[in-house]
Amino acid sequence: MLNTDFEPKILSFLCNWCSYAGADVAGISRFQYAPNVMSIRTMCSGRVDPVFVITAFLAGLDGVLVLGCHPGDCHYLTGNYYAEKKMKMTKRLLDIAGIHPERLRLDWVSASEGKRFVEIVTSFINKVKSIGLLKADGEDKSLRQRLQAVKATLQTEKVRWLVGNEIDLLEKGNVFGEKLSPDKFESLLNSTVYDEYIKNWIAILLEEQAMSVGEIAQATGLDPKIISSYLVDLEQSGAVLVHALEHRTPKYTRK
Amino acid sequence: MTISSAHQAANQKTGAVLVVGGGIGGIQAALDLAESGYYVYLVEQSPAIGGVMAQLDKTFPTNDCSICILSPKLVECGRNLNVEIITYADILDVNGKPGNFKVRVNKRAKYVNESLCTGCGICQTKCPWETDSEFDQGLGKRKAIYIPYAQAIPNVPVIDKELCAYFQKGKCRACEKFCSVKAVDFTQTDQIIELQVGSIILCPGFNKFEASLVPQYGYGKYPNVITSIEFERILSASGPYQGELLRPSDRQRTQKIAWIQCVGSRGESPQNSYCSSVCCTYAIKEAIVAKEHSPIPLDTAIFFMDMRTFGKGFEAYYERAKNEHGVRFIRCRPSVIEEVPETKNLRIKYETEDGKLIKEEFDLVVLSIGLEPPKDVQSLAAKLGIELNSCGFCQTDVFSPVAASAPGKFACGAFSGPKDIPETISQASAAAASASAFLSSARNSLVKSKIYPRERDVGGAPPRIGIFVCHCGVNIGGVVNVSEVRDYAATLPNVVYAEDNLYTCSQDAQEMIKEKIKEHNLNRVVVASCSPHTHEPLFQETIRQAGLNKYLFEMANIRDQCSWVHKEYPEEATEKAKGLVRMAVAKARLFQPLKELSIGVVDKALVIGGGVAGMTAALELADQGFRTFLVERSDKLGGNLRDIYWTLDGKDVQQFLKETIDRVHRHKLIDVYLNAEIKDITGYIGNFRTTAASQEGEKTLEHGVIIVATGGQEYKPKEYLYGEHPKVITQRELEQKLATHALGDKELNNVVMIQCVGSRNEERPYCSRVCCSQAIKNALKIKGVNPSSNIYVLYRDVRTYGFKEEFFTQARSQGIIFIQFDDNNKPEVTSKNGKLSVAVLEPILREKVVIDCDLVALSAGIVPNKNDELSKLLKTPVNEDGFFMEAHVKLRPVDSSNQGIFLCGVAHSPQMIDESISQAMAAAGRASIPLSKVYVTAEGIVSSVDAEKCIGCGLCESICAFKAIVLKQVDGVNKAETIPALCTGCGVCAASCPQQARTMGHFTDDELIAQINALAVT
Repeated sequence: MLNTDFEPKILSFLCNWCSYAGADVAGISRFQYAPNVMSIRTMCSGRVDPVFVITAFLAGLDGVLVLGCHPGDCHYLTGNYYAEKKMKMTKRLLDIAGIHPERLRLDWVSASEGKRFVEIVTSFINKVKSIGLLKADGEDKSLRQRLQAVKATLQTEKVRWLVGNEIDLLEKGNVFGEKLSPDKFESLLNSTVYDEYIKNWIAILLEEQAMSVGEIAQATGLDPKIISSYLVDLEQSGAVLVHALEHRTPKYTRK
Repeated sequence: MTISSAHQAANQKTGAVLVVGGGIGGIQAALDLAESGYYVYLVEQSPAIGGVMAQLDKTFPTNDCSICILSPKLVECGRNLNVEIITYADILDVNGKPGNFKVRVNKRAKYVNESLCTGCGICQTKCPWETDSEFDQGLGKRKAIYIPYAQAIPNVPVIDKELCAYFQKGKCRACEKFCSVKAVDFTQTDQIIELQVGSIILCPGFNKFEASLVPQYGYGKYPNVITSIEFERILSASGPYQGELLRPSDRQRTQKIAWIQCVGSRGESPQNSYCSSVCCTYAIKEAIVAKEHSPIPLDTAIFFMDMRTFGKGFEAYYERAKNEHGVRFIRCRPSVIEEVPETKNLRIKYETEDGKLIKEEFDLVVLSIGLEPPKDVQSLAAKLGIELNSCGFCQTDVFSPVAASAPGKFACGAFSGPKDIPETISQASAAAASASAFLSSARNSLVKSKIYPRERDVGGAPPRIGIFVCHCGVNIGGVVNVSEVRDYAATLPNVVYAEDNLYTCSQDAQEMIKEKIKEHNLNRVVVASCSPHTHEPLFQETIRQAGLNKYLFEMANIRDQCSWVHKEYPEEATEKAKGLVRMAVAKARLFQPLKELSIGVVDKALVIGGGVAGMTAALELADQGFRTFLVERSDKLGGNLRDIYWTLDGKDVQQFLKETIDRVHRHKLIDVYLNAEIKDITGYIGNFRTTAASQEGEKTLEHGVIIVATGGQEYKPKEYLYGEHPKVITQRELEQKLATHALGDKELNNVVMIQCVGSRNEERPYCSRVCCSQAIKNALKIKGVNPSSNIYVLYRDVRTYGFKEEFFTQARSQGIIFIQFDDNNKPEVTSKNGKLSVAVLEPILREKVVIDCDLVALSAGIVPNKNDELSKLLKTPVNEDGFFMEAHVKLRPVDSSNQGIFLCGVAHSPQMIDESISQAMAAAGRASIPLSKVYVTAEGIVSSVDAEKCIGCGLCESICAFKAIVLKQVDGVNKAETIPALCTGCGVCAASCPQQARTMGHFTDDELIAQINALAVT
């Protein structure tokens, strides 16, 4: 297994009660696996802030595995459900940003499943190998900017609030007692995440240098009209401003 | 006041207990008692505590490293203020009366001053005189001055007078010369000390059967015939061959090993008649572990009569050994072993199941030797005034399994019959509970309390990290280059001290860590060794004793998640170990001290389930003085016992049940709720609130602990015409009919019993443990009423473990016929014109025989009650078979993983009445530990909020599953606030806060991000 072209570096978050114990059982049982994976122990998979995942990619890792207790077995009752919602949204964002969403995987390993732990780790390593190196700490500036945009999106209040409230909004309803249908919630979350991502991406591009609508459109591959509408939003919120006019074309910059 | 004057006054009992025997049973009993408010004298004959468990390489069925899980207990015992360890000592005599015994103990001279010795071991390296090591079973050597094993507690050597040149010839004294602290003292003499105790717990363990008494196997004559315990030492990384799988004659790698079961057990004199209970499973373990250890393909074969894997998880272990590891199982007891003189190989002649006679050669044969009473048991029993049973073990009763025959004296572990580690631990906790109940008026009268040095203020000071990298014998060091990791660790920022240790968990290492903290003014400590699950508390305690907050500690798991799983890649494993250390250091650098909260304890208990386990637990707790709520779902107490009339040894169960129910109803401290269901459980150890609903409505109970005793039931067969033919009944139904004389002689002329109905199959892979004994019990009963009846028991393996074997022998001598079948050739039950007959493949004749019969009794297995809902309410998981899971299979058999919740009886696993009773007593004993304290301490890992950033959106309040966050008005605006006592430390709030205003103690954003970044560095 170690003779392939490259060895991905992988981080796994293991919840204390199930997955970490499962990884220990793999050790006690002497099940062998490749040494690519290093683990961080958290008390619950629900502790894993999506921001950590992107931090890992930005730091140069190729894949992130989040392992928790099986659904229904969470030591903290519902922590793994929240983990599931968060990671699902994070994968969606990675996809929007053109980063293979399967670089992130959420799965379940119980305290007795040493073998399953090894199987998941091994299949994930192979998956990441098939996708290839990410190297976000390398030369690819656009990749880094997109990851930064993803990270910034994951830090926005609106996105965090929506994801954190998903279970409540679907099951208990909002303050007015209105329950959202799963479809409606999906589309609301999708559009919010997309909008926030594009805005953050533009803001990050403008942080580097002042750019015109056309230049931004070129850098992002998006329609200039769409860029303009996001710029209006960004201007109104005070995040960007017109830096200068060049040949009567406004150039924007971060405030 | 002195001990004697305080307690002889006013006829008061003495709040101290003598524990005889320092094996795992004695250690557990001592720790339980010390934690429940009693002073303990732990007296051990050999120079160190640890017993046989210290000699084992691994433990079944999890293959946990034995010394790894034992060592923290040894250390805990060694440093518990209320456990006084007296080793190298013998009981002389016992006087006085229950509650106030006077015990004289002879403490043999060690010729080493225990208070001066540092355990450095230089004396044993300098001593020139060698002999066979008892600990290594004669396969290795020890010196005349020696510490029996690496992790020994106390870590003090003794001088073997018979071997020592100074004692024998008057010269040498090398040890004295090299001892820098002048601890060697040749003038020491034996000392007689007198102890005052209220109660005595006996756990002197067992003696190994002397294999040379079975001359046909050639033990002692052929070098490559060894005992199972010798093989444990060979497997052990710290053993005579450093864990290399070599055979004694030529120290060559072994390629083919045979195990012979029942050596000294299930035989005729000089062998013992009883079954030693543990050998089948330990042989499986040794075979699996040997296969894993061996660098070359290893062939393993186990010769057995019946495979007795009856314990929790054992059957699956057996299946794995067969199917995954390829261990061969041969049902045959070889009559003789011959040595091939040229090769020293061993030849075993046996008959295969298809009748072929085969001669097979092995290069090593392991004799699975049985367990016997301790050698000096007769004199010990005489001194203590207790009775022994016909096999020489301590006499106990099925309904009071840990009481010796004299009041105030209790027995546990193999002393009362062969048993494995978890059962020994259960019994030890049960014995401790009994002693505790017996002495409850004297609780807390003699204990000393723990005083920690004042916590050093490290706030603001730059981190000074000390790092200790463990070799764990060869467990880590055999793969990972430990010195390279240590040198690397020393280069990391803020690391001011780094060293490596053979065993960082040993007691001397704890002392060393404390010294290094002082010497280098360390304010953060990192240990790179095994799993925090097993060892974090030990190291946290150590740094606490050195004045550091226990949360200034981090572990890097370079064994379970590194050296053990990357054996083939030593270089990569070393790199990974460095990475794990780098991450641990990056996190530790940011640690801040955390406060632990003291929580008041409601000193009441909830017991769920009113069967024998539940009632026993309730009585035990109430006898200790704690109010107990006993909640039963049905309309009466008794559970499964209502349908059992006799025990295998003929005791009247119904009489016992009636007395027990009466006692429960009469007990002032027990409140019984019948027809009651648990609706809701909130809270945590010390402060649970439970809603129980019954016909009288809902009631809220407040209590500090919970004991789960929800039991199980007999499986309702779907096979063998059950429910279709009226004469196909279960064993339980048969017992009921026998008890009520509902069957005439004619209906009992020809009876067929079929074993393993609903057990050991795909749907329920586990063994139900009780059915073999139950079948034999009923068969003997039928023979009692109708001696001319023909009874056939169709079985897969007869699992009459322990003293139950006697009844198996009795059954055969009374003409009951046992026919073995295997899973692929199950018997067939047919009915022709209402006449029943059973067809089965007879293994000796290798022919199908048809038995016409009047009655078919199905030995239906045990299924757990549906525990899903309760499991959720209790936040305590059930295993694949539906039984509740214990916190640790070996060492915490009655604790659940959730603090303050304990398990017992069939809710835990199928078991016999006496086993259920001792588990229930154990659970009550464990539960009484927090109840006997005014406060329990909650973890310091709780969430917190930055009030500046918090906008009071309430997300955290709504997602917290433990209602540990509330919104409060502060200056007219909402702010979130954590209730630390309710916070369980999951950190979901921290990962979800829209403002990123929340964080989690010990797992802060900064700490986790530092770990991530440290990982990425290459």
